[in-house]
Amino acid sequence: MAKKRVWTAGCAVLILLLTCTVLSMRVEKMMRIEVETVTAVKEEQDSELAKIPISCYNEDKSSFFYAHERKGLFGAELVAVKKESYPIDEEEEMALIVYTEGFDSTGMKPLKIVSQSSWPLEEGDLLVLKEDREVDVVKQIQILACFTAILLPGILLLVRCVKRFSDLRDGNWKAGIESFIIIGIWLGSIFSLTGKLDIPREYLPPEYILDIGFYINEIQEFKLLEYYGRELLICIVCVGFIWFGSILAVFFCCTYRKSRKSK
Amino acid sequence: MVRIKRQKRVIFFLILAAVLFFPVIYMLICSVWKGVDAGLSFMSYYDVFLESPGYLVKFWRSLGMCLLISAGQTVLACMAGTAFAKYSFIGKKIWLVVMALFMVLPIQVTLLPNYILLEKLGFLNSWKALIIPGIFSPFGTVWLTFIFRSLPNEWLDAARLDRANQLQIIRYIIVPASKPAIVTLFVLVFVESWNMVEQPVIFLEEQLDYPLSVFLAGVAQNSIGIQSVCGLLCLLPVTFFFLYYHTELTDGLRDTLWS
Repeated sequence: MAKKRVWTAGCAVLILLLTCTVLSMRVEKMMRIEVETVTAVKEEQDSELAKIPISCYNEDKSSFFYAHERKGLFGAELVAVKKESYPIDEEEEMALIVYTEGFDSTGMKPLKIVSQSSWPLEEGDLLVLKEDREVDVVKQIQILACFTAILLPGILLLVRCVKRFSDLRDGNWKAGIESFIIIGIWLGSIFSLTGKLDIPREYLPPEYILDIGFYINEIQEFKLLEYYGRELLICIVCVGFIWFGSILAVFFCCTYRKSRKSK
Repeated sequence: MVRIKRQKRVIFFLILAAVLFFPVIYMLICSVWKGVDAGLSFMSYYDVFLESPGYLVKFWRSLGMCLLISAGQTVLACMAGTAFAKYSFIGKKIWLVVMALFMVLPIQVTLLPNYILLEKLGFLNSWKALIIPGIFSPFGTVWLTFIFRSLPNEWLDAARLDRANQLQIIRYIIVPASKPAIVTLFVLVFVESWNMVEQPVIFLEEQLDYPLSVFLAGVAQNSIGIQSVCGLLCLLPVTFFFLYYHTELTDGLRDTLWS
C-alpha cells in the first residue's frame, strides 16, 4: 500500500514537472524583453571617437546596455549586459563616446547597443530584437480562452492518468500506454497553444507572468471590456460550458462506476 | 520502567531524526522565507519551475543520464556477475581481484587515465564521457558476483535440463532470485551518478553541459531561495527511489552481508 502511494505521488510529481518544463519554455520566450538596437558610428575614419544616440544611456548617464549573444540551452540567445561609459560630449541627440566603448574587446565588431526596450532592463535579462508586427487581439483572446478551456479537463484527465499509472505497476501495460498517450497529448496541446500566443512584451508584466494585479490594471487601462466585450463574453461562456461539461462527465463516470461496483 | 525506557528511546530517535532532517527542513524554510520584511513567498518556486526552463532541463538531462548509467551498469553487472560466480574460465580469480582493486581505488586516481582514454576515444566534452565509464564501473560486477555465489548451482542445472539458454537462466532464475540485491545496486549506482561532481568538472568544458549536481554549486549565488528550491529538486529522484525501494534496499544490503 505504501509502495502504491509513493508510486502515485512520484507519477504526479513527474507529470507536474513535465508540465512545468513545457510551460517554462514558453514563459521564458514570452518574457524576453523586446529591444531595438543601434551600433556606434565612428566620427571619422581614423577618429578615436564614436557616436551613439543619447537615448541609449541609462538614467544616471553613466552606463548603457548592449545585447550580447551567448550560447543558451536551445541555441544562441541575446542577453542584456551593462557597460560603464560616460559621454564625452553631447551633440543634438547624439553622445560622443570613446571609440572602444562602442565595440567588443577585439575592437572590430560593433556592440548592439540597446536604444529602446519594452521594459527597463537589468543585467542578465533575456532579450529579443523587436519586429514590426500587427497583433490580432481577437485571435489572442481566442487562444487564451482555448488554453483556459483545456486546463480543467486536462487536469482531470491527468488525475485519471496518475491513477492509471498505478496499474502499470501491476503489469497492466495497456493502462500505462494509455496514460503516456494522454500525457503526450496534454503536453503537446499546451506547447502548441502557448506557442501560438503572440502578446507584445509591453502588455505582459515586467517581472512575473503571473502578476494578476498587472493584468487587471491593463484590462482597465486599455478598456478591453469596452472594445472586445462581445468576444470576451463568448469565450467566457465557451470556457464555462467546457468546464461544466468536464465536471458533469467526471460526476457521471464516478456514479456509473459506483453503480457497477455495487452490482 | 519499560515505559520510561521506551519513552527515552523515542525521544532519542526524535532528536536524531530532527538532526538528520535539519538540512531538508532548513531548505524548505529557506525556499519560502524571504526575511522579516518580505515574509513568506513562493517566488523562488516560480523562478525555478516557471520563469526559465534551465533548471528543469538540467534536471531531466541529469535524470536521463543517471538512469542510463544505472540501467547499463545493472545489466552489465548481472551478466558479468553470473560469469564470475557460476562459470569457470581462465584467469577468473585474477580478473575478479583486479576488478575489486579498481573498485576500491579512489576516483581521483582513475581520473587521469580515464581522461586520456576518453580523449583518445573522442568522448571528451560530451555526456558519453560520463555515461561510458559509469556503465563499465567494476562495482556492480564485484557486488553481484558475491550475491550470485550464494545461489545454489542446482537451480542452474535444473534450468539447463529444461533447455534454458544462458540469457534465460539470467532472466528467469538469477535475476528474480537476487532481485533485492539488483535493485539495491541500481539505486546505489543511481545515487552515485546523481551526486557526480569530479567527472563532469574534468571531462566537460562547457558549463552548460554540466549535470544538476555540479550546476547546483553555481546556481543563483545571491538567492538562497532559488538554491534551496534547486536542492529540493535534486532530492526528488533519490527520495523517490529510497521510499519506493526501501524494503528491497534493506533486503539487498542484508543479503550482501550474509553472502
